[in-house]
Parts: sequence; C-alpha cells; structure tokens
Amino acid sequence: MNWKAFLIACTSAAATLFPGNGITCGGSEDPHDYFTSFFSNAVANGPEYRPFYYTSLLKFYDEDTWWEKPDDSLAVVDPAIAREWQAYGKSSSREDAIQLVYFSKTEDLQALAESIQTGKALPQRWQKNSLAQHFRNTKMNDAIRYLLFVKKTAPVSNPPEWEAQVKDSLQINRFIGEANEAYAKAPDAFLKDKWAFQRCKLSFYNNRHTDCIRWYDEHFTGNHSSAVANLALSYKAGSLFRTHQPDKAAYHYSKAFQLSDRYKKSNYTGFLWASDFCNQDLIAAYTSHCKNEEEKATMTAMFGMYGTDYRLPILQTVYSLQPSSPLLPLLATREIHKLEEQYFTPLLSHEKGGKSLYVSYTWHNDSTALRGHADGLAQVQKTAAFFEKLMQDKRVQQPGLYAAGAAYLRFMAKDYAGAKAVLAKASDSDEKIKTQMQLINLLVAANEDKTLTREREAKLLPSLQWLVQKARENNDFEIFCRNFFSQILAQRYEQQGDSARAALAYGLSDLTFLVNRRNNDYNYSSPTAIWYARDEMSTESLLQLYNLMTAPTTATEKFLVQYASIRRDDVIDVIGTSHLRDRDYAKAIEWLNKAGKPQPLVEERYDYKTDESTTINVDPFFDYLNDWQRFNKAVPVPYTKLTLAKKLQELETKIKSVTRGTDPSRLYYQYASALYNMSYYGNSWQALAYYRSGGNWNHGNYKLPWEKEYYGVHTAKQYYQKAYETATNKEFKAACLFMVAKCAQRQVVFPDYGDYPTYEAYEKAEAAAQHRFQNNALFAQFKKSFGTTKFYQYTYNRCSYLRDYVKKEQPSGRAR
Amino acid sequence: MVQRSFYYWKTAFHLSPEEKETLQRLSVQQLYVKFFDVEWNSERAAPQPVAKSIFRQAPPGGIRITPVVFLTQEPLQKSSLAQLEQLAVNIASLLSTHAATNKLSLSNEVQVDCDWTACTKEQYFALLQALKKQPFFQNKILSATIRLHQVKFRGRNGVPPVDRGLLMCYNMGNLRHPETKNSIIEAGELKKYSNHLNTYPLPLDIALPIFDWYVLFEGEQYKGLVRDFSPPAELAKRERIHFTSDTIMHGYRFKKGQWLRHETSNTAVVKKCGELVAEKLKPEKRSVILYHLDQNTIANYTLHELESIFDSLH
Repeated sequence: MNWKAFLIACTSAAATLFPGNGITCGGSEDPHDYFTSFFSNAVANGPEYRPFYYTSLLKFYDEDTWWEKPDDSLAVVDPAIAREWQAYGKSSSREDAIQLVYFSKTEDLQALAESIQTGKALPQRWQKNSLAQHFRNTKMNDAIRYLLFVKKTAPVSNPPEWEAQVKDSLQINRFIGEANEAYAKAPDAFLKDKWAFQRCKLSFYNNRHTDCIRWYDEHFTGNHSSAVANLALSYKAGSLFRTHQPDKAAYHYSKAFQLSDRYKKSNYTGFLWASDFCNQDLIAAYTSHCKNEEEKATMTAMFGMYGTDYRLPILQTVYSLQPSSPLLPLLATREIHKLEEQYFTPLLSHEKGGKSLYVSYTWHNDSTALRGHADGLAQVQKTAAFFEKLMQDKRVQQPGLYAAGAAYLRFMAKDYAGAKAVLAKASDSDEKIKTQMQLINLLVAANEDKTLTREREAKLLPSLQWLVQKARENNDFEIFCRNFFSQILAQRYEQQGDSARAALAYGLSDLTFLVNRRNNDYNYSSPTAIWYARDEMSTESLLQLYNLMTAPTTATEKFLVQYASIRRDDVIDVIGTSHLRDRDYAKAIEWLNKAGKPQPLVEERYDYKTDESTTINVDPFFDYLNDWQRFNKAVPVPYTKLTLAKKLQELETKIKSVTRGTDPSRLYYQYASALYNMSYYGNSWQALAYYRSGGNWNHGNYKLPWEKEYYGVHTAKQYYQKAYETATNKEFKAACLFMVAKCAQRQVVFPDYGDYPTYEAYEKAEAAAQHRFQNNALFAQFKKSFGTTKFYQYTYNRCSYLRDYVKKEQPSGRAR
Repeated sequence: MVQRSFYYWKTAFHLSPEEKETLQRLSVQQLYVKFFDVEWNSERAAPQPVAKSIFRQAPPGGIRITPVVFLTQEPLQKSSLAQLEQLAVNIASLLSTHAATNKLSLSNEVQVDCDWTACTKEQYFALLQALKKQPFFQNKILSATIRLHQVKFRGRNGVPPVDRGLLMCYNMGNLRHPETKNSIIEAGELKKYSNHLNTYPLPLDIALPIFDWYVLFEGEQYKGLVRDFSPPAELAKRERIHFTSDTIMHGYRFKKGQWLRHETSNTAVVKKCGELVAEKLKPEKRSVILYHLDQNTIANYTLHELESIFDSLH
C-alpha cells in the first residue's frame, strides 16, 4: 500500500485550496521536499553520504530515486577490485580489466583458459585485451580458474531472479571445499586473498557463520588493505550478527563502513540491524569494542545517522572524541533539517498567512503545537550555541558550515541580530558555503524589519534577483527560491495586510520563469498565485493587484510582476467573477469585458458505460424542477460569465421596472433559477467558483462571504418566494413553492465528519440533519395547498424526498 | 453467496495448528497467497522480483491457492513498453515454475495487487493486458486490487482491464494525522467512497481487515507503526496510551511525551463496513477475503466473530 499516494488522494485540505495538487502526477509527498528548508545538503557532504541525508519518509535518502536516469551499466563494477586486477595483470587498461573480470561470459573464460593451456591463439574477443594477453603470456591459468569459479558460484549470493529455486546447501558446501583447496594451493598473495574471501562469502550464505568468522580471522587479520578484505569484513560482521553477537557485529560494520565509500549503505544497513536501529542505550556497551578514539567517534556518529530524534549529544560526543571527524558535518546538517521539519515548518504554518503547503503539516492542534514550540525553540538555541563553538575550532572540517548553520538557527529563533553577528564573524572560501551564507543573509534581511517598506524592498531587490538566478542554476536553490517567495515573502506581505504583493510573491514561488523544472516529479508544483487570488482575495485587494500589475512603479514591483506566474488577464477574470459573486452585474460586465478569452460555461459529463465524456453547454436559466435533467437541455451557444452577467443585469432591470398591475412572478422565478443554477447544486456553478468538489455540501462554515449564497441559496429562495407570492396561476404557484422548499432543504446544515470526536457523535449529528432534511415543513404546505394540481403529481413522481415525506405522513396500510 | 477466504501475506508459508484449525472450522477453501513483489532494480534498470514466498509446508488438502503478485509503482514508472512485455512473460513464468516447484494446487484466479495512480495507469493497464496474453493466464480469471480512492476517482484512475476487482476496505484513513481515530477502518470514512460503488463496472470481491497495530506519535508528529506489540492488559483496552516518563514496554522503548494510538479492526466496525458495501453491490457470488491469516491476529477474534464478518456481506 502506498500510503502517501492514498493520503493525498483523500486529503482534501491541499486539494481544495490548490486543486492542481489533486490531479497532478506523482501523488506522493516528495521525501526530499516535504518541509520548509533553506539549508543545502551539498554544503557539507560528499555523494558517498547522500543515503544518510535527513528525511523521515525514507529509510535512506537515496532510496527513492525515480527521478534519476537509470541505466548505468558500470554500476556493478567495484573500481577498487578493477584497479587491483589491472595491477595484478600488469594491464595497461582499466577498461580491459573491467571487461575481463565483470563482463565476460563463462564460455569466453573457458576459451581463454584453453588458449593458456594449449598455447592456441587467443580467441577473437581477447586478442586486444591487455589483461588476457598477460595471463596467456604468463600462463596464469589460476586467475582464470578463479574467475570461472566466481561465475559458477554467483547464483549463491545472487540467485536468478525470475526463476523459482531451492537453495542447495550440499552444492554450496562443495563450492566451499573447492575454495578451501584453491586457497591452500594459491600461487600468490593476490589469489590467496581472493579465495579467502570466497570461502568467507560462501560460508556466510550457507549459514556456516562460525566458519566464516574463523576463516576471516585466519586470513584477514593484520593489515590487509585489499578490496576483498573490506568485503570479507562485512561477511564477518554479518556472521557475528547471525550468531547473536550484535555488539561485535555493529563494531565490525562500523569498521567496514569507514573503509569503503561504495559499501557505506550496505554496511550501515547491517549496523542498523545490529544496533537495534540505533538504540541509544547501547552506545556505551557497543563503543567499548572500539580500539581508539577515532573508531569510537565513527561508531558513535553512526548511532546518530538514523531516525527523527534530535541527536545533539551525539554530535557533542563525536566532537570531543574526534573534532575532525568527517561524519560531524553530516550530523550537523541532519540536525538542521530535523529542526526545520519539526520546529520551523510548523512555526511558519501557524503564523498569520502561513500557507501550509506541505501536506504533512497541514494540521496542528494549537495547544500541542504551542507546547512543542517552547521545546523546539530551546533545541534550536542549544544547537546554535554548539555550532558557534565549532565554527571557532580550527580542528573541525569546514568551520564555515557551522557558522552558516548557527546563523540560520539564530534566524529560525527570530534572533536576527544574533544571526547577523554570527555571519559577520564567519569567513569561508568555499563557494557552496558562501552561497549558503548569502541565502541566510537574505532571510534575515527579509525578516528583521517589522514591516517590509518600499525602502527595504529596494535593498532586497539585488538579493531577490540573485535568488532567481540561483534557482536557474541549482536544484537545491530551485526549492529554496520557491520556499522563500511562498513561505517567507508572501507570508510577510500577508501579515502586513498586503494581499496584492503576497499574490505576486506566490506568483514567483510558482517558478514559471524556469524553462525546465527539475524538481517536479511530485505534486508540489501546482500554481499557488492564481488560486490564492481566486480563493482568498477580496474584490478590493484584487483591484490593488490589478493596479500593481498594470503600472508597477518601483524596481521591486517591476521585478515581481515580471517573474510572477499570475497574468493580468487572470486577475481581470477573478475581479469580474468577484463582482458576479457579489451580484454587482454592472461592474462584473465592466471587468469581464476586459478579460481576454472568455471561458464558456460548460460541463463535462462522463459516461462510465461508454467511457466517453461529452461537453454540454449548460443553461444557467434551466428551470430546476428535476435535478437529473439539469444537463439534458443544452443551449446552442454556450454562455460565458460575461454573457450571463449581461443577461442577469437585463433581468434585474426588468424586475426593477415592473409596474403596478403586471405579473412579475415569471421574472422573479427566472432570476431565482439563475441564482440556483449558479450555486453549488446547480449546473452553472463555474460562473462563481473555479473548483467544485463532489464531496462538499452546506456545512455552514464559509471561508468567504460569497460562499454563504453559494451553499445556502438564500437569495434564490427569496426570489422563488416572491414569485410564489405574486403568481396567480395555481400550477405555477405550486412550482414556485416547490422550489422554495427545495432551497430550504439546501439550507439544512450537514455535519462535517472532521468536527466530531467519534464516529458515533458524527453519525448522531448526521441523523439529526438527515431528519431535518427529510422533514421539510414546506412539503406539508405544498401537499396541502397543491395536492390536487398536475404539478404536484409531476413532482411526486420525480422527487424522492417529497415521495418519502408523503409516505411517512400517511398512516400505514393506506393505499399509496 | 460468499466464498470465504484469507490473505496469506508472510514470505514463509507455514501454517500453525491454530491457523489450520481456523481454516477448517470456517470451511475456507481458498487462500490468496502473496507469491512475490515486483520492484525496480536501479542498478540493472529492470524490474525484479523480491520476497519470493518460501513454502515450508504444503498447503492443507482441499485449500486452493490463488497467487498474488504485489507490484510497486516504480517498475511501472520506469519500464519501457518492451520491458513491460518482458515483465509479463517473467511474471507468468515465475508464477508457473513457483507453483510447479512447490507442487501447489492453484485456483483458476491470479491476482495483481498494485496501488496504481492516474500517472501509472497506462503502463499498469498495458502490463495487465500483456499478462492476459500469457499461456499461463489462459482460462484463468485475472483480478486486480482496487483501493477506495481508485473507485472514487475512477474518471482519472480508469478501470483496470481485468476480469474481477478486489475492493480493499481498509487503510482508508490518514495514518499520520494525530486526530485520526482509526486509519485502518472506519464506517464514516468508507461512506465517503461507497456511493461510487454501485456504478463500478467490474464485479467486485471484498477484502476486509482483521489486523491491528499501534501508531506512535510524539506530540503531534507521526513516528511510525509499532506492530506485534502487546502492552499489559489494562493498557491494551485503551485507544491511546500516553507515556508520561521514559518507559520500556514489551521490548519497545518509549520516550516521555510519546503516545500510541491503538488501531484495531473491531468486529462491529468491520461488519458495519461489510454491510455498507453489501448494500451498494449487486447480490452475486463473491469472495470475501480477510487480511490476513496469522495466529496472533485470529486470536483476537472468536470463531463466531470471524463468521459474522464473512456473513456481513451476504
């Protein structure tokens, strides 16, 4: 079960706010981008440490690598092994060694062996291979015998994938016997190492763990630096684990971890098993096996490279044992990222204007968040203080990293003066660290004033331009740039009540100025600015945004407008719609007239039987007597918001100019029908809303004022009522009252599941709402007054609510 | 009519006496056994089978085995069309040789379990079509698991080209949310999806949960799942266990401030969900599969309770 995909599919918070989220590809949280970050992993650590970068969503950071291009045919090649074979065979070419050792088939090797034994010419394939030539010239059949043995025994550790197979332990024992014999007779140290390794490996896979440990100790103790010695050490560690000596196993894994970059991850996996997934209570006992401070520092550090808990004490211990430990920068970066994830991201999302763009952090119970806040802040400060100590110690690797880290943490703690003081003391020649510091400078500069004034904006501008440029060049900065504009700058503008600028900042965070997005495999990338304008801006602030976009005055405004994703036409459409929501038709027409290409009011209908979709030009004036027919009568030319606004204005004028003695009921009814159709329940909802979720209903909690009408159809009901009151024809009067009843039914507030502590409580509230919904008092009036009309029969046959109501009213046993 | 069945999801197939007895007393004649997972091998840039089942014991007589293949997303995302064709050949061949090597008596159904999305649907459906063409699949029913969200968002997720669907009625809530009551199964959650069931174009079998687990939180933060955890009896009754000091319990260490949410598959709730689903589906013969057969799990239910869960779908 892919949890993350499932969660996204059913989490409505993000999908409602930014519908793009719900339908883009990926469907998962990006495990490398799920909290607000401004600190690069690349600052401190080489690629060999990539698996150990911090993420709580994967066991190893590089576990999920589907954005990376596959197909690296050399991935199987261990460069250290290839190098040793090249030296052993006095080959001039590394490639020749790789071909012979890694990519030859059994028959190729057999042909080579035959050539060595019989003196026949080298087979075609090997004629130009310097290693094969050397073996033939020196008659080194033993080397070929070894390679053939490796081919033959490969399925023991690497069984054929797409075959069902049963492990043959007797056969493996015969292989071990063969390796033992060859080990005894090996002509040189190189091949002796190899055979010693083979018997360790095979005995491990045949569950002969004591033999594995013994054979490792017999041959590889002392100063063995060959590549297979490191591999054999891992097998010994594995055998110690299998023979219930986890402490010694962990120690040997930590040694193997240190010795090889290539196998760091596999050795760390073994370490995790042996250390009960970094159980901190075991550190003292386990590290007692270490022979010196450096070993102790490495093993202690390894206890801190897993899990989501803060591990500052581990950093402090590693530092005291070996200040120059290469694992210290990795641990420091992990701590910064944990603080970002667990303190900084929730903090930002709680502040006014916080957008909670990361799905995992959309929820935070206020009381617990507050409790966590104080602890988190203390942790930030403790960590910052420790980094400040490290940045002054010449013995540590990359002191600039700690300076950048300390400044960043001071920023997180809102201690801007402290952050600046740290940065002022810091100096580093490393480009990556300098860039990191520049970003922290920008964060501080954007936050240190209470209000972002025009003057401050002007000062920020060069840095903003720099950030945009960095986003073009660098993967990490693509994310940092997005985060800065959406989580820092937009938020600041919202806090000072400047929605127009906030919208532009969101517009930059959409990163549409990048030609090719790199980090877009997951679904973060939906446009936020346009949805912010559509869902969260009042008409007044939309007008401010429009003016800003039409005539930006300062250089910063020009910059924001130039790079924002949001376009003026989009804003015009939203302003027009906003007026339409307010039923100010004159202004709606004025603005919608300016809009570029008007969108037709259409609805897609999907037929699962034929698997086909059809587009219907909906009729916003459809007489809403029968829900199921609302899409049946398409209009020949689709309405747009503009043509609809014009028609509504016309209707409104007619209503206003009704003179005494004329019957306005049809006008009222038509107007009411249009309002109903534009509601959540109607066929023309898209005239007012940009997104409609099938799972909503009138829950009584409206985010914006216009939603009250959209879900509650209050004005529509008033006009149906007026129509009812003025109508003279009984049949028509019946229809008017039926629609009043229908609107009243829509005003029944249904409970939201999330608002109830238990399912039972929710079910009870739902039952009560259902009761109100089904016991529409107006149905009684409708039946009483119009029970004899043709219209009553018509609705009785079509409206199940009415039917249910009437049936309930009738005493049992009566004919229906 | 309901055909009673269980999933067997452990890699090593070995039924305990209790498990055997449960099968016998409930007259279960069919087991859905996971044969292997298919993952992506990034070094070789090809799909690969992992966690192949090992039959340490022959299944009891009279029990037919339906093989299940669990497919992760990555092979779908990364395979070329040619690789998908080859994957179909490989899956069929491994199923066939695995059954032959272990002398298994297979039912006439094969099931593929995959949480496909709108973005992998084309590849997934192509693979399913390629599977159907394999000789091993001739005259066999090919079924696919269907998650609730795949039913609800059918427009964009599509309907897999298979003979039957297996509707998974569990893992329906937000596991990581501290306020979720039960992410495994809740009638309220199921209701959000069940309206879409009656129009789903595939005949559906139903899977219901009988497992439980503990979800660990620290404050509001999700920390992970704790399985096979048995706290003292008085705590086991609680829905939430809060740790006010560092505690070692049943071999697990909990820190001060951490808490556990015990999520169970309560019989009444599972039955209610079974009934909700049954209301929406056409009455027809279908399998009801409980996830999953394990002696620790079944120990939490009386035989009557298990029976009543099966019967909720009548």
